Amino acid sequence: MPDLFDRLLLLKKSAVFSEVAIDDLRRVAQALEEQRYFAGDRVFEINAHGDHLYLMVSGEVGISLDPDTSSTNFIARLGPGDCFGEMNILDDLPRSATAHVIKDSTVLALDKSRLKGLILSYPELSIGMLRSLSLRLREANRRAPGTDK
Amino acid sequence: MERIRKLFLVHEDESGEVLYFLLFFLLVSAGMAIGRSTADALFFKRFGIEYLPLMYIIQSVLLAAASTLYAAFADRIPAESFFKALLGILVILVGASWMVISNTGSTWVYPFYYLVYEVSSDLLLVHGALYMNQNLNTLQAKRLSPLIYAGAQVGTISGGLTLAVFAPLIGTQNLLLAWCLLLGLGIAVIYLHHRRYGVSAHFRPPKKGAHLVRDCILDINQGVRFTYSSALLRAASFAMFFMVIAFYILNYSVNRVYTQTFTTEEALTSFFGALTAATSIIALLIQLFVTNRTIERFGVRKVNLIYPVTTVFSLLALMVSFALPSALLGSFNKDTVMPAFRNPVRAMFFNVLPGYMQGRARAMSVAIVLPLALLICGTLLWVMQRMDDPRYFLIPGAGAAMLYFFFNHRMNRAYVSTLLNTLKERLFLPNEQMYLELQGSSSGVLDEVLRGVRHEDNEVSVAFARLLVDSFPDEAVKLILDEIGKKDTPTIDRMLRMLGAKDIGPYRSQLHALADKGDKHLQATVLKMLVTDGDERARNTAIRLLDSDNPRLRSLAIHVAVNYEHRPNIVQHWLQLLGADTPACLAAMDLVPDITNLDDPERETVTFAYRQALETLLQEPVTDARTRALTGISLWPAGCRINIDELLDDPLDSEDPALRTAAAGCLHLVIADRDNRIARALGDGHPRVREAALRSLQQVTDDFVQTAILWITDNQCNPRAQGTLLGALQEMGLPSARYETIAMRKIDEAGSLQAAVAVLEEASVNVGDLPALELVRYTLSERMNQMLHLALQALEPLHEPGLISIIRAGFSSGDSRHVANAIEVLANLDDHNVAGQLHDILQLSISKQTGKPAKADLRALQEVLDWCRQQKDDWLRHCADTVLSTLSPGNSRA
Repeated sequence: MPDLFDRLLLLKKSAVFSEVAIDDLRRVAQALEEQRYFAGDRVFEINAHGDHLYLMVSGEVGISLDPDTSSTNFIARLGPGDCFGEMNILDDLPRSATAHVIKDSTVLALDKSRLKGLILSYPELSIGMLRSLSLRLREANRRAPGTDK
Repeated sequence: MERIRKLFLVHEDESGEVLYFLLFFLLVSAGMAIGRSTADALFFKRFGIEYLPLMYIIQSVLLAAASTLYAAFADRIPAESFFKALLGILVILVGASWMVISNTGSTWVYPFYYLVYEVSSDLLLVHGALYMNQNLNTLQAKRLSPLIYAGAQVGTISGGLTLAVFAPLIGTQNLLLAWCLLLGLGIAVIYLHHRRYGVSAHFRPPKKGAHLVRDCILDINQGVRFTYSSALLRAASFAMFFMVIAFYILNYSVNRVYTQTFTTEEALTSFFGALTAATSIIALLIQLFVTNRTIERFGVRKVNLIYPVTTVFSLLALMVSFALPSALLGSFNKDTVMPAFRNPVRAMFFNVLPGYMQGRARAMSVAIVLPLALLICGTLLWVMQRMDDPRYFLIPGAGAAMLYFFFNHRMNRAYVSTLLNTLKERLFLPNEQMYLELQGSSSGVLDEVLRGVRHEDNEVSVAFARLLVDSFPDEAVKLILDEIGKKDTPTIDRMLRMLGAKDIGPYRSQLHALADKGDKHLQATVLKMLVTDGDERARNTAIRLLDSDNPRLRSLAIHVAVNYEHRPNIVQHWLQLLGADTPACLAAMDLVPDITNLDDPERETVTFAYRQALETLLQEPVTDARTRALTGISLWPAGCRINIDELLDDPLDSEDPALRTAAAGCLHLVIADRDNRIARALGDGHPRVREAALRSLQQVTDDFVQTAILWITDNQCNPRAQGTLLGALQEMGLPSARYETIAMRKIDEAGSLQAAVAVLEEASVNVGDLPALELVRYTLSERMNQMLHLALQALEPLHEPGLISIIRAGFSSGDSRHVANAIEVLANLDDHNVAGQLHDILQLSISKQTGKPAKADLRALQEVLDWCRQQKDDWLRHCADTVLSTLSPGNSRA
């Protein structure tokens, strides 16, 4: 079970919460729930309704965009410290990918409604999240060929 | 390598880019040096110096046409693509010139080649600056552009040496092929670099239109309009106009002295070679070791005045003595001072203009100003050169140099305001005009709000009613009373409660009618409004409701009895209310201010009952009940004591911001650990909680200003709390010296934190990845940024409204270019002492170069951790304790 410091570091290094002040992040860290998955499990499937964001503590997870949920044609392999399912935390659309557990994994899950409650209670949390997402967008723009850095 | 980087102020991650620019500009400049000497030599040999003014005139026309074409495309395509096109065209023109010179006896090719060089050199100079701008931010430009220009200077020297060695061997005209070769190498280098690293970092492609030609014409029009509207560009255009006149008169004058002094062609060529080498080497040394340090030390604006001053003196010296020493001074001025100081600084001035306008802005000066000045200068010299006395053209030259100085001074004044405007525009901050527009449209806004109040959804309607009361307090009573007719009773009740203590005198009869036809809740609300307003009829109605089954009406009746009727046994009614169910207890909370009207022992009895009622209410599962209970208690009168110390802990930790706000509003009633609890609430993550805590602090302190300043300067609360206190102080208004004290203290703390972060970064290499240590580092970095923001916030009242906010917005943007511009504005503020120190720390904080910590006393990890433990920051202390408990004793001294 990762302690508060480990959770905070995971959050601080994640794409969604990197710009949130540690003072606010402590509230988020307390709201994380530990979940364990075994190799072959699926954390979630494409087009399913999703209400959690996940932070990898250990193990390996593969992300597939294939509409066939059994496909293991991964566009990304995620390891400790990586974050997934974050798109769904802000929009209410179905999952855009399937997350396959490649190796036994431990993740920290953050419930969407819990996060919304935290944002209402500590509004500056959302400003930090917006900054993080903005930086991520800049990075994506920079990487995209033919666009400005 | 590390030493070289530090010597030239190059950061670790910039080495590759700097080397690329050095190589590219070296190649281009070496080629241009060959071009310049061959063009001069071939032209003067065939035509003579007396045709130079005529060439100036023709050059002006060609330059205007070429620059207009350049302006049409400069901002539409990346600078590197334009460079490839420009260099490619130049290869073709130079190659064609060589073929004509080698294969025909035609003489027109010499002025043609001379003009190709002159026009292309001006365009390349402008475009080189634009190219650097698309790749460097303002702070990088300050440090690196002198070094890159030095690379160009090395290219010039290399080109000169190539000429000296190869001209006698292969002939002047064959050196045109060497220029072609260097241009080709330049194209290859730029192509390879951008194939690997993509387009220039700061290039922003414009929206693609369907009609290229029309879009290009539109670009030129916008450029002209922008030049007219920008104070900086206007001043820069005038400055350039007079600079060109002064420069070409100086150039003509020194060449005239040299041609008079050195009578043979060999002696003249030899002298030119030595002079070029000497001025270029001195310029190179200045660029490498002096320019960037001078700019860093004195700022762009002071360095901008160096070249105009030396130009005035050079022309005055020639007026005193039109001989070799003065001519040498003039050459030193135009060939050393100009490239060393004027060119890098002028590029930086253009850097502060909006990115989408940079190319056109630069091109406008070359397309309009330079040709016009050249035309005037050429005509003047064409006429004046027949006169023996050089003062005929030196006096206008000196006059132009003085005007050049004047307009450079005007440029300096426009520099900071342009930086601010660009930042504002890029950060999408509203300008004054937008505020005026918003104010002007208040009637439209009111109509919109009223439409919301009329909304069929009651929740929407109530939300807009709240907005109406807050935004239009004078009209709110009338408008809400006009609108509530169509609403149901609970909604009317909620809306009327919002009106609170507003003047309802003119509407009493309307309110009585409402009370008569409404339910008991509405009746209670309306009667309370009327009683508060001093309405006799309402008071008489209320006093008869002591036995009502509605607790709010009973509460109102007790209120009237206690305040106006002084009935015996009224306390019994009060205690019954407090001892009854939750709605009754909550209704009794409205009576809290009336406790002052009781005497002991009744007051003590009621107080005790309130204490018990509050304890019961705070057990309620519904947070609204807890919130209302605490909101009522927050109005507890001064002079009466109620012990609620241990009741506030849970509400203050609640996730419901309304409950936290209510609890923070009660903190002035607390005795135990009051200051710490207020300090924590002042740093809450919700602004309403912070405001409530601020009110509590104001109630318990005799000298709020002194307390707030002490809490801020002594770090007795977290940075967010300090920001809240500082905001309150700014609303009250303090003498400037107080703000400066706060700012200096915060800057000092930021410096200490910066040093601590540097120590932790070094220590983490030795100790390894301890989560607690990493977290301390994150926390300290965050605290450092927060201290810098507090320092900026403290500076706000010392400067014109909005200025520091723009700097803060730029600094917070995370965009390196905006951050650099924000820091540059700070460097140019009039408040040199505080702003200067803040500028230094901000610059270091964004620098990738950690360097040596600023404070030697925080070097060791142990010392940093001990220092963290001594701070009043609970979280920092906790982290430091955890690190110390996990570290073995041997590791603590990194």
